[in-house]
Amino acid sequence: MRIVSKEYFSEHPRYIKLFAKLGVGILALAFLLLPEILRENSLPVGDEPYYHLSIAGKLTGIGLGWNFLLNYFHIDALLLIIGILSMIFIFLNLKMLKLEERLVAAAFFIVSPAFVYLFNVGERFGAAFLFSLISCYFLLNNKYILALVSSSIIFLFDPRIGLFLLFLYALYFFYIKKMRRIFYSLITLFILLILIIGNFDDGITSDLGARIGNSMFSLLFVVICFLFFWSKKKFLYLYGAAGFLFLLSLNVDFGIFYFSLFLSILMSICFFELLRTKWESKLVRDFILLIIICGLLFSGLSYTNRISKSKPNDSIFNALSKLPKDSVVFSDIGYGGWIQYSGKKAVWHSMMNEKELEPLQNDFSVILESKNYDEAINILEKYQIDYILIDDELKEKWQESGLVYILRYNSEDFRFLFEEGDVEVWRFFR
Amino acid sequence: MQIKRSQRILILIFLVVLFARVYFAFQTPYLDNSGNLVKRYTEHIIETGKPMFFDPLSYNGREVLYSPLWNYILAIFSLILGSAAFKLIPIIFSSFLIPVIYLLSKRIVDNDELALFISLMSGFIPVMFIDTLISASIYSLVVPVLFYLIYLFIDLDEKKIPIFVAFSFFLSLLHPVSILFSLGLLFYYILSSSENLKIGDLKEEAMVFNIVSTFFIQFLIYKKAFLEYGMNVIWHNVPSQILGDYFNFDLLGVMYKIGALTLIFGLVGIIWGIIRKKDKLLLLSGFSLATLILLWLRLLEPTIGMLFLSAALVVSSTFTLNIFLSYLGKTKLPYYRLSFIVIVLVLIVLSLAVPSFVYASKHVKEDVPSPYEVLVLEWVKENSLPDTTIVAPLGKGHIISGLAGKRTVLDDNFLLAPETSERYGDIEKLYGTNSEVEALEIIAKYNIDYIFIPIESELKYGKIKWIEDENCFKGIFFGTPKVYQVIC
Repeated sequence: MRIVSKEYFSEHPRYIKLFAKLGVGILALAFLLLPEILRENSLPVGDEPYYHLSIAGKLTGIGLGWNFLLNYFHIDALLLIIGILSMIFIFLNLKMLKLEERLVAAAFFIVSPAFVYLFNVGERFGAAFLFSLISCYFLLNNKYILALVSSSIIFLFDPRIGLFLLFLYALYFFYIKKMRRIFYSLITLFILLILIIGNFDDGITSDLGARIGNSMFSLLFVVICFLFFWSKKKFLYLYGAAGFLFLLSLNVDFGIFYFSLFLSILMSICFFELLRTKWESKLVRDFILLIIICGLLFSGLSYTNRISKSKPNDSIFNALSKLPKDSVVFSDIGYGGWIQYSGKKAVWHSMMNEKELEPLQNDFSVILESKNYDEAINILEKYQIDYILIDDELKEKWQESGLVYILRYNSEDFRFLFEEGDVEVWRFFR
Repeated sequence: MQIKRSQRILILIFLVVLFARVYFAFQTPYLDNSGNLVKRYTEHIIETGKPMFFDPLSYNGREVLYSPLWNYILAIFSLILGSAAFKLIPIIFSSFLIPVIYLLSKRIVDNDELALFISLMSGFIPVMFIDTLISASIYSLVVPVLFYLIYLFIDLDEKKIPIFVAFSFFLSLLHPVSILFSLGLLFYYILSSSENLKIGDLKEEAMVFNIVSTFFIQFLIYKKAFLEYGMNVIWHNVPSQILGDYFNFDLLGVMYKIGALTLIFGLVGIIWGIIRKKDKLLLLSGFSLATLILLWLRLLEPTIGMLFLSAALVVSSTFTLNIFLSYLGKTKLPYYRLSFIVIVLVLIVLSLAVPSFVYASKHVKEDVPSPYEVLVLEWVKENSLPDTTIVAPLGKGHIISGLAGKRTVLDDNFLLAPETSERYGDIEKLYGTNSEVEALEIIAKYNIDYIFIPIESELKYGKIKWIEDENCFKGIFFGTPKVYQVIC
C-alpha cells in the first residue's frame, strides 16, 4: 500500500504540491487559532487593542482605520480574516517573484513570533501589513493605480507604514530605472537616520523576552548560512536587504514584521541551498535541518503560549466594573487601555506619544519610586485621581518603594476598598 | 581476549585513582552543601518518578530550572547502591577521565608510556579530585564526556559521526556547560583559519551541528530563564553584591589547584602547538582559549573553569613532555637520562597528588556538616512545624533544606530565584546588624521561625547582640552552630 502511494505521488507532483499547500494552510489556521484556544478567557490579548476598542467607530486617534473597522467587525474575526488574506497575498507576491521556495518561506513566516503577534494581538499593524502586501502585489502586476490606492489606505492604519512603503517603492523605482547613485544615497541616508535616532533598547528576539521579536533560531540559522554562502553574490544582496530591515526593526515597532517576512524568505532560500550543497555526512545535514525546523517551531509555539497567557484577565475587568463611571483610576501605563475600555479615565496609556508621556512619566516616577508622602499626594491630587488599581504583577514591579509603601502605611488618605482575584483597589481621598 | 600490557597498567591506574578517591569520600557520611541539593532532587525522582520543578523549601518555595538527566542517572544507581551512590557514582564517572585522557594523549604523541603517565596525572588533578568527592557533582560526568567528544573530533571520520552526534546530544542534555565545547570548536575554527589550516568539510559540518544542537537544547531547557533575564542569563541571577567575588579569578589558587608544573607544561604545549600549527593541539588550544576568555570575562565560575582547563592542560603537556624526552635523548646525558626523567615525573606527580590529598582531607572535614550540626538540624526537623522557615547564611542553604527538610530564605541556586540581591542584602544585614528593630523587620519580611548561626557567621560578624532578647528569641542550641527560635 505504501509503495503504491509513493509511486502514485512520484508520478503526480502536482498532488504533492497541493498537499503541501494544504499543509501550509492548515499550519496558518493552527497558528491563527491556537492562542485563542489556549487562552483561559475570551478577552483580547494585550493593552493596545483596548485603546482601539474604546474608541471603536470613531475616526479619531491612532489607527483610525482600525478603530473604524472594529465598530463593525468582531476583533477576533477581523484578525482571522486579515491573517488568512495576508497569507494568500504573501504567497501570491512570492509567486510573482518566481520564488520556488515560496511554500517553505510561507511556512517559516507562519511559525514566526511576528506572525503570531500580528494576527492574534488586535493592533492596527495587521491590517496595515495586509494592505502593504496587496499594494505590493498590484505593483508587481504593473497595476500602479491600484497599488497607489491600497498604499494610501495604509495611511488610515499607520502613516509610518505608509511612508515606509512609499520609501520602498521609491527605492524600487530608482533601482529599475538604474539610477543607482540615488538608490544607494537613499539607503545610506536611511541607515544613517536609523543609527542617529535609533532606539536600540528594545529587544528584537522573542526568545530573549522581547514583546515583539524574531525567533532566536531564525537569526542563528541565517548567521550560520551566511558563513556558508557569503561568497555567493546572490546571498550578499539578500543579506544586505536583511541587514537594512534589521536596522529598521531596531528602531520602529512595525519593522520587525517586515524583517520577519524577509527573514523567512531568506531562510527558505538558505534551507534549499543547504539541501543542494554536497555534504560529507548526510546524518549531520539531516540533524541540522531538523533542529532548525524544531527550533523555529519551538520559538513560535513558545511565543503562542506566552501570548495566550498574557494579560488582561477577568479579575481586572471585574474590579474595574465595580468602580463608578468616569472616575479617574491610576495604575501602570500598560493598564491604561483596559481602564479606558471599561469606561473609566486613565491618566496614562501606552498609545500616548512621547511628548504627552514625558511630563506624566516624570510625575509618576515620583509616586512610584520615592517614599516622599507630600510629593506623592500632590501629584495624585494634580491628576484628580480617585482610585488606585494594583495587582500582584505590579506589586512585584513596584516592589516596596513608593506607592506600595505609602498605601501600606497611610490610612488617612487611602482606604483599601476591595480585592478581586489578585487585583486590589484603593480609594484616594482628595 | 588478551589484555595488553598498557591496558593492564591503565586499569591499575584507574583503580588506584578510584580507591584514593573512595578513601577520602567515605571519611564522612555526609555530603557538602551542593551535594545536599543534588541528593534532595534525586530523592524526589526516586519517590515520585518526576523531577522537581517547584522546590517548596528553597527561597520559601520557588520554581527551579535545570536538566534532570544527572538526577535520573543518580536515581537509577541509588536504587541499587542506596545513598552510597551519591559518592560512588560521581567518583566512578570522574575516574573515566583517565582512559579518555590516555586515548587523547596517545592520539597526540603516539607514545604509550607517556600517554599512561599523562592519564595518571589526570587522576590527581587537585581541582578535579576534590570536586568529585562529596558534592555528587554533575561535572564528574560532564568532564569525561566533553573530553571524549574532543577525542572523537580530533580524528573525526564517517564512522565516528553517529557517536559524535549521540554524545553531543548527551552533553547538551546534561549541562549548559556544553556551550563551552561549542565555543572551543569555534575558537579552534578561528585559530585554524588564521593559520591557514584546512580542517576538512566533515569537521566543519560536525562543528555546525554541535553549535546548533547545543543552542537548541539549552533554549529548550532554559527557555524560561532566557525569557526572564534575556542575555543577562549568563550571570545566572547571582546577587549583585557577590557577583564580583563569585567569579573571582586568583592566579595563585589556579597554580595550586591545577598543579604548577601541569600549568607550565600545558601552557608551553598549547603555545608550541599554535606556533608549529599542530592541528590536534589547536583544538585543545581553542578549547583552553575559550575557557580562559570566559574566566577572564567572569562568565564562568573559577572552579568550573579550572576543571576543564586543568584537564586540557594535562593533555597539552603530553606534547611538551614528548619534546622534552626526545630532547634529552639527544643530549650528552644518556647515563643520567633515566634518573633525570624519574625526578621530573616524580615532581609532576607530587605537584598534583600532594595538593590533591591536602585539599581533599581539608574538604571532607570542613565543607560537610559537623555531627553536632546534623544533630541540631535533625532536632529541628523532628520538633518544628512542617512549614517552618529557617534562616541561614548563603553557604548553608542546601544543608538546611536537605537535612532539616525546612524552608530556607536563601541558597546558591540563583537561577529564577526571587529577588536574590535583596535577600542576600537582608540576610547579611540580619547577621551583621546591632539593631533588633532592623532584625525583626527582616524576620517578619521572610516569616522566619528559626535562626541558624553557624561558626562562620560568628567569625565574620562577631556576636549577634539582638538575639539575647529573651522576649523575642528562645535559645535552643548554644554550641556551634547556635539555633534560636523566634517567639515574638
